[in-house]
Amino acid sequence: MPRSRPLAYALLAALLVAAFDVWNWERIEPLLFGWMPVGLWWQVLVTMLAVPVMAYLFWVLWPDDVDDAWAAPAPRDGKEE
Amino acid sequence: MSGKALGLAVVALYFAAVVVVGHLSNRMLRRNREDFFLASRSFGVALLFFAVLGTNLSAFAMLGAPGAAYRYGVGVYGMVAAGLSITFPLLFYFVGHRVWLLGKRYGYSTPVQMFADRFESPTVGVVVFVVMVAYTIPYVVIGQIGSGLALSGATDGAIPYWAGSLAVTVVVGLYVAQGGMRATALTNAVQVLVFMAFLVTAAVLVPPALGGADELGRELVERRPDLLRRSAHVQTSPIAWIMQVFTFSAAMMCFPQIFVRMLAARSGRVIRNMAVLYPLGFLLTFLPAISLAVWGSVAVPGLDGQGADNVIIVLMQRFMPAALAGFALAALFAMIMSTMDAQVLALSHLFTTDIADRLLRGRVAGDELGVKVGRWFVAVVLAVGFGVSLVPNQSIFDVANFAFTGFGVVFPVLVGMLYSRRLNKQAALAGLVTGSVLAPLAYFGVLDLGPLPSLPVVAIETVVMIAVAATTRPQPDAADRFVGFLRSTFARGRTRAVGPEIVPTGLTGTGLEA
Repeated sequence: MPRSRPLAYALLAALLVAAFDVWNWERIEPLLFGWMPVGLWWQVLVTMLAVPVMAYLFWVLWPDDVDDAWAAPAPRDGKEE
Repeated sequence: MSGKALGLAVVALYFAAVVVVGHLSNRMLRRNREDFFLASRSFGVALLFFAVLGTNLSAFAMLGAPGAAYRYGVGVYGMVAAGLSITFPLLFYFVGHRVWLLGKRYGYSTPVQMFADRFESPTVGVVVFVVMVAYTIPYVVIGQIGSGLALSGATDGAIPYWAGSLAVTVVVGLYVAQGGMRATALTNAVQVLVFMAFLVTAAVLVPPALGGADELGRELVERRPDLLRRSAHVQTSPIAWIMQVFTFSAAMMCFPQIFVRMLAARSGRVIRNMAVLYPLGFLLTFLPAISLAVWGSVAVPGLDGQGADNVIIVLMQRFMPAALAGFALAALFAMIMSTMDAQVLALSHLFTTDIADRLLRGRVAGDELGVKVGRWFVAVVLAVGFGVSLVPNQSIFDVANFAFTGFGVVFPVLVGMLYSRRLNKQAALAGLVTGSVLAPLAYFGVLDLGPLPSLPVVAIETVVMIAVAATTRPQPDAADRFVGFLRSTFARGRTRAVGPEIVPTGLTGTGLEA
């Protein structure tokens, strides 16, 4: 799978739009499991989708290999050797 | 054994378990301050996940949020779980990871040290310290209030409110003072598993006891359709959703206990993996909690005020076997204590490192005295909180919102510290003072900035900061050490695979540029 920044940002934007689902705010139907209104199960779906979206976003944005080398302790006086 | 005695036995068993975990972690303690307060920066993904999730999910998750769902319906899930499942992982990336990098690079162990160093101003550190302490103590008190209410409610007053509050205070004090950060993280793992197991079990068992999910659905549609519609109440309207998500998000990384937990991670990769998993924690907690509360609105109607906050406990007592009601109490205490322990330890850390160590000119650092002083501060913070918890208070949802609004004051300065070269000491101070004055005035209605004033307060504070920064001199050296270092680090990560490497300003000759 390609590491695509535009795709990562597009997925994040889609997730944000889905979380603010204005089209569901007034609705109850369809009910899931006999009682769960669309305003709840849609939000549950958004929560579940957040996991793969964040995984892809961070895979693209969050470098895997810079942390350890670049976070090496600096000298106490703040000056580099 | 009577039902209530059985329930209390379950709670006693849980208390004993966390004290034992605290004792075991005491054996792993290396008797120095870095180990007591930061577990020697050794947390892996699982421990960080449980430590951060347990810290974030306070009594609010089992009392405040269900109480709100009982009154306002399913829209509460969207505000406290779905919205935050997106913003919290982003905050771990945009703020948490950067805080960890700076902490590792320059050896910071508290947020106060970091702020004071970035702005080359002890005064900025002092203001951050005051804000963090002033708003964390009310949040500690929420836990003590919740404990008192829960134990006295479960025993119909046989255990008085003050005794319930005291019991949890003592248990938390015992394991935090024994094992410090490692004890709080290990107990948080136990606590998260306890409350998730309870909530999921209860959500499976309660509907059959109330006539089945279909019957519950029919009753809700007939009697409380407003609770099934997200925008039926002003408290869950779209504008409230935006305000509430912003309020929680702005505050989260400014909690000293969360900030310090970022510093305790073993690596940035650990924070990244924890951030990806984080929404699952919210799902497994808030979906059952909110569902139980909405079912409670038809099964046990008419609860109000603190009674509504207690809806899950009431459901368990009326419709479930005594052992499950006891499990509910243990789960509630698990949630309360998993936040309280982290807050108390963070406050003790701030007092020991940023106050006592300075007053004693560094003599507290790095040895057993630091651990001893830290333990004493744990006891002092808990005692103060217990005293405040005896004063009658508002609902937990209100106290939480007050604390969250206050923490939001630090957010613009935190973001500026990490991203702005232009932000300087004067601007940071002007922003912090503006926010610190506006937040309580707005929250208590002296100044009308709406029912959830966090966003307007942060906006005004940000404008003040920008205006002051534009008219005063920047601090280029400090900005280089922070913003320059972070920009170079991420630029290097981005270009590693495709182009020449970029060496951060001031890092040449360290060997890191090779």
